[in-house]
Amino acid sequence: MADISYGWAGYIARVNLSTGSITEESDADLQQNYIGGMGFANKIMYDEVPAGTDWMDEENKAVLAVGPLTGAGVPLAGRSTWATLSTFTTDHLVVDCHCGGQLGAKLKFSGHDGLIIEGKADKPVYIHIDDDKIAIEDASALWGKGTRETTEALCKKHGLDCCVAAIGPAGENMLPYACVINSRSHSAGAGLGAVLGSKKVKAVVVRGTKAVNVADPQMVADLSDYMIAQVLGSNNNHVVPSTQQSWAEYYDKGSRWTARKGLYWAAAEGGPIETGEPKPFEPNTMGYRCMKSTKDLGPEAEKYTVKMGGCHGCPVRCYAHVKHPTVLEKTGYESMGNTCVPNFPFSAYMQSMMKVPGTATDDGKLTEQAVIYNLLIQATVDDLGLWCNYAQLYRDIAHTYVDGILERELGDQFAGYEFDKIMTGDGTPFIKILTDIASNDTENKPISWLGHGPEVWTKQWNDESWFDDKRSALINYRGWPVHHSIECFGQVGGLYNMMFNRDDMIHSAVNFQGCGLPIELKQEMGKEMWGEGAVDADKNYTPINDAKVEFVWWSIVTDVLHDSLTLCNWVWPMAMAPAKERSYRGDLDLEAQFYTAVTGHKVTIDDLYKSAERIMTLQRAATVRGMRDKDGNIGCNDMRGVHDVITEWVFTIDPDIQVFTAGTIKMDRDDWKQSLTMLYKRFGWDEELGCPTRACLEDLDMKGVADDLDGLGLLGKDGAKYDDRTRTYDRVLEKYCADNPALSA
Amino acid sequence: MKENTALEHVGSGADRLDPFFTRRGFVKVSGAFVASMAALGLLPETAVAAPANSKGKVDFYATPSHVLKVNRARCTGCQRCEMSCTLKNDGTSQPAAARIHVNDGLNYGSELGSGDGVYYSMEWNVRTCHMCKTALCQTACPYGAIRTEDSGVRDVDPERCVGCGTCVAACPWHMPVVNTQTAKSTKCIACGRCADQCPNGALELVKWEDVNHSSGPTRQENPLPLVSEQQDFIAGGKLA
Repeated sequence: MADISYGWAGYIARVNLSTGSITEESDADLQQNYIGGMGFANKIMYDEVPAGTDWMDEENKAVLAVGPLTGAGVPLAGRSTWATLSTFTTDHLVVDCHCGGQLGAKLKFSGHDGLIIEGKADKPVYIHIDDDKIAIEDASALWGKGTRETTEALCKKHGLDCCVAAIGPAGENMLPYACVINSRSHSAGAGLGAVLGSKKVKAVVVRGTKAVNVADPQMVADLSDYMIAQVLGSNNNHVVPSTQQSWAEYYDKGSRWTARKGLYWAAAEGGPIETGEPKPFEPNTMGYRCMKSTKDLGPEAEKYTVKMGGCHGCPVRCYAHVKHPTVLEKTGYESMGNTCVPNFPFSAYMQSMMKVPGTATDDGKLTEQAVIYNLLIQATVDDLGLWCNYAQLYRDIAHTYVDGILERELGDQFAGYEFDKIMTGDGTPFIKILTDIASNDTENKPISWLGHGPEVWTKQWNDESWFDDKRSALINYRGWPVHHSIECFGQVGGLYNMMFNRDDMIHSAVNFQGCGLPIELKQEMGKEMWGEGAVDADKNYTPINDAKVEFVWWSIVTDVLHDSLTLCNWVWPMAMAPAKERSYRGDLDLEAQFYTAVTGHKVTIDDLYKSAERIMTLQRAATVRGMRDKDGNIGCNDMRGVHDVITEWVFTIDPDIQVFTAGTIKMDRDDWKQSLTMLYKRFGWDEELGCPTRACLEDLDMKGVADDLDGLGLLGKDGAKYDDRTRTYDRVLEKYCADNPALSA
Repeated sequence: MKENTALEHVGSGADRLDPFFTRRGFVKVSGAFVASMAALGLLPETAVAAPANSKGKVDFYATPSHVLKVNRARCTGCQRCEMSCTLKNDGTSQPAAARIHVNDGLNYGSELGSGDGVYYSMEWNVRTCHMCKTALCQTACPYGAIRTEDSGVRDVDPERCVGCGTCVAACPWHMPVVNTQTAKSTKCIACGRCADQCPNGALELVKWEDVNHSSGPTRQENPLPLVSEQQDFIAGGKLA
């Protein structure tokens, strides 16, 4: 009998659309160093997709991968990571596209840790995985359909228990903003839909009936019980309720622990269900803590709320499930709900510029009109398979409308988009606006330029100063916006926004910022984890220091670790907890303990952080290898001068407030330069250029990558080994974790 | 607002089977045997209600000690129940072999057109073992592989099970499943681990009651038309 593979299924499927070849290969050699998920996907992209490849080339690949914890019973282990080449950020370099829903778990249960899609089909196809059986099937009849209809047709054919991850018209039309949707509204963005569209892949259908083998199932159960009872909070790991409640020492109105007495899932089948006052040590009320419909859509959404939902295996139910008669009438779809931008595209990103009367009450509460506007957009984009570059699409539509750019550029078509109706209470025109954007017919429907990202449309329409306008929220000139940036602990958020080739999707720091505990306590906790001075009060930032750099490094490696294991970084890591009994301290060892229990390989959290650093540095090397220098030549290691360039507005906002004083999130130019230097040093990269060095690459077992960069003249200088740079995180919070079953085992 | 209480779904519905299942016949055949066993104290007190096996191996009557109570309106579809079930009972995480079923109805409910699932009503069925008085899975098994435990709960003897699937077919709700990897059937043993891990309290392990009258809805009375059959939705471009 073959050795049992614990955690990992042990195989990656490879589907070549050009040749029709379908194979499976062992991933045993990747497991220890690259974990899974983002690590596997980035390793495969680095090894197999040469520098200079464009996203729509046959040589580009789309790699989906999960990790050892996916589907293994570990809480919040339902996510998956794709890697491919960016469709809308500068130079089209490697990006990760994350999604939850059911896709990752189903892939694992089919007996696969990954799926490599390569080549190009000459006619529409879908990939069907049913345990060991993998096939390329004809999708001609599905071409042109929305994601809902596609999913329904494929489930009808292959079983209602399949997970369908589909592109909509946006992907078919190769719109750079196109995404892949599974389970109605779980989106893998960053242009992945356009890449699949270029390969003529309409969908990936997965059905899995196999087991994830677990080395120590009792420990997985015990750790889960411990974590859910006292360590885990609500969405974003907010650990205090949003209203004053008798059991809670603290409350914070910004918290996503929004359950309270008198707040109901009012449209529940059979009558309203009260969210009530779920407390720590009550595992069976965990799923009521996050009432996301009213949090995102405002109080009017309560009556439309059926229940909450979310990803596979997650007890934090952060996804709204709502139904609205007007949206049904206008779109044909009754079931709605999301947890991210599509839940609040209008109210959070457009209204501040468009100022549509009737959207909010005088005291700032969202109205019924806001519910309808938000849900109309949501229903439309999820069916079209259109992701927004983390809300950039909505800011760009609003800006180009209110500042007259659309009227100037669209000519006669402008009137047809009926912004006048939108401004007077009817959100229906959004459906046409978004559908025309998804058409990608820039010649006949020029509004679709907005779906190419700001790097493209601002050049097209002579509006490049938009990047320097604070309203744009663009944080990097390569085309992505803030994703919890300088408003999140100043330089900490600013720095991690520079790391990838898209918006960062790092939540480790912002979860801590918003968790609801008082700042004094957070500063004490920050000192224990990252050092004295790591944590500043909101909008009252101080110059850079070593502890803040440690906090940034930790935020980056935990995010990469979670995207590889795969765990949800929208809640993990467990840096804080709701239980007063443990002084609100979290448990930073849990990832390692779950990894050990699931895989049977004993690791510490420091081992996993080192692997995550390897994966980050590998992506950094891929970027250096493929990035164009200022003269347009491929291969550039001046990350500081070309890649990690923060937009100008962060230095110029609030001209009347001095930097590093209360009331501003403004950054200082010299301090920012110093911040980059210190972060590069922390990663073992070249302190001036910010690119990987031989010392760090070889110490991370990536000698081959060092040789590659050396051969191209792109290796940085100096650097240092991991052990000479790091601090020890193993059991750093142990004294608060007396109930942790792995510590007492 | 009134609290949601209407949907608690308990019990077997097994009484509805009486017209076509020869329960009385079993009673005739084995009633004397059971009575004598009970008198000798060799059967649990709960062993009073239903015939418990075919093939004459364990011809006594038992009501199971516990049954799962379900409120599907509270289920948020995380499927931790399925993983927790198999981690405890099989030592692996394998939802498709779980003794409780959520994932197969999550998308579209009990069948396409039921009007359920995340794509329609956002309700779906949480399918649990009904703990029948008359356990057709057990009586149908040609190998006598479904045993009655002391608790009155039936479980599968993996030594005897050949994975033929007769139990799956015999159960009116198709609750047992044949594990695709081990080729053995599995069924609920009322361990309660799924309920322990339910973040919404949609599941509760309660003392067995013969309650056949309180089944909640399992589909929509007036389902919306199917997206794939009525093509006037957003991407079809006809609405709005």
